[in-house]
Order: sequence, then structure tokens, then C-alpha cells
Amino acid sequence: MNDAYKELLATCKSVISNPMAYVAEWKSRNPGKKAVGFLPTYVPLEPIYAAGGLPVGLWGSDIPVAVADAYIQQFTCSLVRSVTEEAFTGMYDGLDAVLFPPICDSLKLVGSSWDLNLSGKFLVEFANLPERLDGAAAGTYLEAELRRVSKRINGESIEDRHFPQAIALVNRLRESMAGFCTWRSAHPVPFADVAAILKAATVLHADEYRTLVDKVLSVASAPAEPVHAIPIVVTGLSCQLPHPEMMRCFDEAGLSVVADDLFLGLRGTPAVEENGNPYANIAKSYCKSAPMAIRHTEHAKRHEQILEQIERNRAKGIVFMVPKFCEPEWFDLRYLQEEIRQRRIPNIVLDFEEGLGATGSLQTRLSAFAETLSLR
Amino acid sequence: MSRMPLQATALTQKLMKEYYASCRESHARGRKVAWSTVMMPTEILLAADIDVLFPENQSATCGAKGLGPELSELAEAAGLSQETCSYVRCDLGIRKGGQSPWGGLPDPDIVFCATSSCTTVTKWYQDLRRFFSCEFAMVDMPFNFSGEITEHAENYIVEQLQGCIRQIEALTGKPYDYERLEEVVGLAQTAHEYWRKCLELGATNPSPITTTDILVNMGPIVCLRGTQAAIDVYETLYEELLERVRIGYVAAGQERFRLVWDNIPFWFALGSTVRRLSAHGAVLVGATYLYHWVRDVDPKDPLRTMGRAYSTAITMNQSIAHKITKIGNMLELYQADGLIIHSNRSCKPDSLGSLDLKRAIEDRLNIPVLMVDGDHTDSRAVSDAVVQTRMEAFIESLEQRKYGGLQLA
Ligand code: SF4
Ligand code: SF4
Repeated sequence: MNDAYKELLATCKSVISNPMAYVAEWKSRNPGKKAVGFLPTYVPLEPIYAAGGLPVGLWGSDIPVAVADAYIQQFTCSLVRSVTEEAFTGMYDGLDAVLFPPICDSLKLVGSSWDLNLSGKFLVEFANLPERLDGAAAGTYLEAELRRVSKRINGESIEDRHFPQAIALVNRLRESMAGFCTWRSAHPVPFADVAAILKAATVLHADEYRTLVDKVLSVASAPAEPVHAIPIVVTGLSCQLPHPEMMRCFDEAGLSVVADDLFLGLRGTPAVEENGNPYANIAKSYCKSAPMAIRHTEHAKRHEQILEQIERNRAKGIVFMVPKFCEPEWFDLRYLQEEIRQRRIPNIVLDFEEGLGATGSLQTRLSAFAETLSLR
Repeated sequence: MSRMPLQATALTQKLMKEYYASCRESHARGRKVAWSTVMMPTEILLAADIDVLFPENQSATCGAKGLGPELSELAEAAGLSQETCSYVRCDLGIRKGGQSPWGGLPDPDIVFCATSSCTTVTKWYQDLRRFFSCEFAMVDMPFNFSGEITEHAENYIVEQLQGCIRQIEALTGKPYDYERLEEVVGLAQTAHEYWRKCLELGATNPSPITTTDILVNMGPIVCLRGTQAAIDVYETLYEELLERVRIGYVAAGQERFRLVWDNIPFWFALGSTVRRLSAHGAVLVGATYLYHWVRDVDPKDPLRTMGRAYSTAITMNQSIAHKITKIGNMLELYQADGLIIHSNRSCKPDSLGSLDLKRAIEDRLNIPVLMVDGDHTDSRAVSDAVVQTRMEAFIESLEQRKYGGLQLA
């Protein structure tokens, strides 16, 4: 791999190993500017960038959960519990605000609990995204909601004229991620690295991220060494960005992840028009979002998207990584599996919980799956 | 005092039985049937002469008949995870050939869901659409994080209700009758008012009615508000309660402790829960669940007032802070000695936030709170022995607190 890639990977790994250290460092370089945390899968980042702020994805970690148990029951997904643990133990005190997208019942109520208990430390707000993306009403509603949210986090000072630059910045961030994902299919790299690089896109300032990725994409690298790993597609993680080392299980099992839905919230929305009413333009893009368990779309079907990924990448199978206690994903699983089985595509369902402790069983199941695929 | 039977209960039973029978008959004759979630303003359907049935009610009845586990198992065998709401699993279990206490519901021509219940209903109703190849209508009701509905959320809901009306017109092939809607909403409001007054009288200390007796009379307010028949039931109930209060009738015989229940009951163990508590002189005098149907709608502005009214309920689709205030007020109204919170793993929207609620009620109102883990229909997820032990310990602590315990004797 070229040096640019090594630099990208090293920076990404270091940033995600301690995102709040990066936030502190960024804030010291940008006095008076706000760092705004956001919960999965994504909230529109443009209003944050328009005010010169830094959006920071909060994905939790594998720290043991203790304090959070006094605020939220254990029948919630590991992400919700782990971010709550970090928030209530003061790890996010360096943030100025946190935005919740109330995409599932857990995030609605957990956000409300943070609001009740932590609003003395930072502003807790909801970016109250519509659940449905069809019809004009959702777009009109979202436009007004984005205006409200922008005002709440930025005050009155942010005007429409501050937006075009922020919109362009986020569009470039999307492009960088897409560019990296295309590059990675031609240059197979471990999935653990892919996960690290995609996760860092939610923490690093979009400008810095783009510079690093562009360097990788612009260097003509030697053709990749032939890979013997079995190509597969992974789905179910649009709302989780697991510890990259957990994802090494795929690599160790000899599986090559050729398509995934990590951070699909941002990756799955089309570029936003730069001119015109910024709020309306962002809403328009959001309503064209790729299908995900937590969105009701009429324009796209999730199984079609997965089948297309399988076909395009000649994948041999599909891994459903379903977060434990995530009702939206468990509901989708039933119908997705029906569609996939009808087409006789090999698949496996893995209960997903954040935490390196779970790596062992993940590894065993993935290796067994790889073996059945190699026999076909 | 001898037990006074409630005339209203007989009326409710007759009304509901006739309603289900007539739905089945008129569906056979080609009248349209809708399935709906309970937080949907179904007045818009009644006004179009569409029969409305509620899978949630059917599932609750399955729970009460102890069918939760076997229906859930059928659903799980059909690929639906045990981590989903057990109401949905009961419904899928029936669709997969399981036994329904009602002999099943007539197939829907259209399904309606409103997200003020939960995000689960969207997934559930999408599955119904696939299963029945029928029309699908939804009303997305954004989370009221500040307790108050925002203006744009209200407009959003109104626009969606207008969209639903267009779907209804397409289904019935008739232009929508807005005058009839006003009439239905007017009737619904009268039913709401009686329902509220019944609950208020029910809060009298000592209680003229048990919570179980109110629960068995919920059918009309859930399914048939907007009809004169529902009003008749609650007018009767109200008169009966007035009389009971006048003569000082105490429904439970004795009330050493007045308790309020939060969250959906254990449907499969409602009777045994009440018996267990009453063995210690503890009475369930109120339940937050009943207040989901305390609403205000206005026939002069039906869509907007329904949009506002249905986008929230006492414990649903709104901030924990507001939930705390509302439940706190309710506990004071009932002069409650304690609150039992059912932490229901099948219903996250009604259960998450309970730890904050418990702390606030104990600290601010100084009212003891017991939190028990459970599930509303799937009894496999509930440990009866643990529930029993915890309830006994709770009542013992209330005994100490209120009467100084046994050491006084
Ligand atoms: S993984 Fe599922 S349950 Fe967890 S926050 Fe995301 S949508 Fe909610
Ligand atoms: S999750 Fe709760 S609100 Fe939603 S359908 Fe189930 S019981 Fe009803």
C-alpha cells in the first residue's frame, strides 16, 4: 500500500481511538467554535458546519456499562448503552451540544433522559427527522425543523448565505467516502481498516478528511495483489460503527467485505444542491436517502439495494449483522431473509453487540460461514 | 356492602360483541375494513363508514387468555425475533395459523398506523401490507421532545391526515364527507368528556370502582368513540359512579394502600396481580394506561385538533420531563401511597425513561415506587416468583411507612 494510504489509516485510527482528544485539540485551534455531537445514524451536518463548528459522531466504545444502568434498561442496543455510559461519566463534557435523531424508540427516550440529566453540561437537542420520506409533507416539515435546529444550536447569527460553503463541504465529504469505497474494491484492504476509515469520517473535520483521502486516490498505486478472500456483503450496521478490531474477524475468516452499510446515513444521501434555499435543499436530499431499517421509503427497497450490491460485486453471500435489541433491524431481517432465501443466496445472521469480548464467537461463526461458502 | 354490578359493563360487552359480529358480516357484504393502531385518529375512518379493527386489542385479548407464549412461538418460527413487541408476535402468530380468541379479524382493505405509539408500528404495518397486499396509510407524528408539539409538526400531521383522506376516497370511490367527520368528531369529544369524568370519579378516595372494572370497559373508547353507542356506555358508567360515590360504596372493600400502575398491565396475570395485592389490603386504584384516551378534539377544526391530540398521550411520544409531571399530578389526584412501574421489555417507548421517572417520583413527591420487569403478553419473559417477592417486599415497606409496621402491635 502507498504512503498516502498509510497516513490516512494511521490518522483515522488515532482519531477514533480517542475522539474527544481530537475534539479538544480542534477546539483549541478554533477558539469560540462549537463541537456538536450527534447520535447515529446521522443528522444533517450542514447547519453545524455553516456556523464553523465540528460535528462529532458518537458511537460509544467497548467500555463496561455501569453508570448507564441507572438511567436506561438493559433491553436496549449496545450502542445506546455505551454512549450513555460515556455521556454520564463525563467523557463528552468537551462538547457544546448533542443532537439526537429520534429514529427509534430507544433514541427518543434516551435523548430525553440525557436532556433531563445532562443539559447543564451541554445543550441536548433533537433533530426531529421525519420517519417517512415519501410525499411532499415530509420535505416541508423537515425544512422547518432544520431551521429550528440550526437556530437552537447556532443562535440567530447563521444566515442562509453561510450555507453554500457548508453544503459544498459535506458534499465533498460524501464524495471522499464514496471515492474511498470504490478505491477499496480495487485495492482490497482489511475490513477492520475500512471500518476505521469510515468511522473517522464522522469525527475528523470534513476538510482534513478530504485532504487525506484525496491523496490516496490521486496516487496511482500498484495493482493490488490478488486476493483469495471470499467476497461477501454485510448489512445491518447502518446505525453502529463497531470497534474496527471487531471487524477483523471478517479478515481472519478469509472473507472480503465488498459492500456494507456502515454510516449509510451520510453515504446514502445524495449531494445537496448548493444554490437556493439551503434548508429545502438539505431536506430534498434527505428524502432521497437510501433505504434503511429506520426509514420508511417508497422510492427504494432495501432488498433491491442489497441484491444490487451482491450482483455488482459478485458476492458469494451475505452477513446480517443485527444489533441485539434493535427492533427496526430485527423486523427488516425477517423480510430480507425471505427475499434472500428465495434467491438461494447463502446467508448468516449474527447478533451484534459492541465489545471486543464478543469477538471470539463472531470469529467462530464467520469462519464456519466462510467454510460453507468455499465448498460451494 | 354487597357487590354492585355495573350496568355499563354489560353494555360494553354487548356493544363490542355486536360490533365484531357486524364487522364480519358487513365485510362479507363488501363493506371496507381497516386495521389501525390505537393512537390513530380513527374518526376519519368511521366518518367514511369504514369498519375499524385493532390488532393491538386482539393481541391484548390473546395475552389475557394466556395465548401469548404459543402465538409468540409461531411468530418466532416464522422468523420474527423475540426481541420485537409481543403484540406483533401475537398478531403474526395468528396470521401463521395460531388460535385467535376472536376467531381472527376480517382481512383489511387498508391498514393505518400512527407513529405516536412507537416506531415498531411502522414495521408491523408494512408487514401487514405485504401480507394482505392491501393499501397502507401512515401518519408520522414526530417525537414531542419538549412536551409541546411544534407548529411545523402539527402542519405535517394535518397534511398527512389529508393524504389519508385521499386514500380513503380512492378506496371507497366516494368524495369524503367532511360534515359527517365533524359530526363524528363531536360525538368522539362527548365520549372523551365522559371518559375523563369517569376516571376522575374513579380517583375518589376510597375508590368507587376497581381498575380492572375500568379496563374491561375500555373497548368503546378505544374502538368506537365517535358513535352514540360509546357515549351511552360512558354516560351510564358515569351515573353509576356518581351513585356509588354518593352512597360511599368502596369497590375493593378495604383500602389500606392505594396504588397506581404505570405501563400496560401483565394481561395474562391481571387477576392474579390484583388478588395478590388485595391479600395485603393494597388496591390498584388507577393506571396511567387508561389516560391514553383522555383527549380533546374539536369538531370545528377536526384535523388540526385531532393531529395535536393524537400526537401524544400521558406517557407516550413525549419527553420524560413531561411524563414525570403528568404522572406526578395523577398520583396526587389519586392520593396514591405508591406507584408500580412495569418495565415492559416488549414496549420500549412506554418503558424507557422509567428509571428517571422512579427517581423523580421518589425524590420530589416522596412517594415510594416499585419497578418490576415484565412483558405485557409474553409470559415467558416474566418471572412470576420474582414479581411476587418484589410486590410483597414493596407492600411491607409501605406498611412500615404508613402504619409504622408490625412493631406497633
Ligand atoms: S441500533 Fe437500532 S436500537 Fe440502536 S440506536 Fe440504532 S436504530 Fe436504535
Ligand atoms: S411497542 Fe408498545 S406502543 Fe408499540 S405496538 Fe408494542 S405495545 Fe404498542
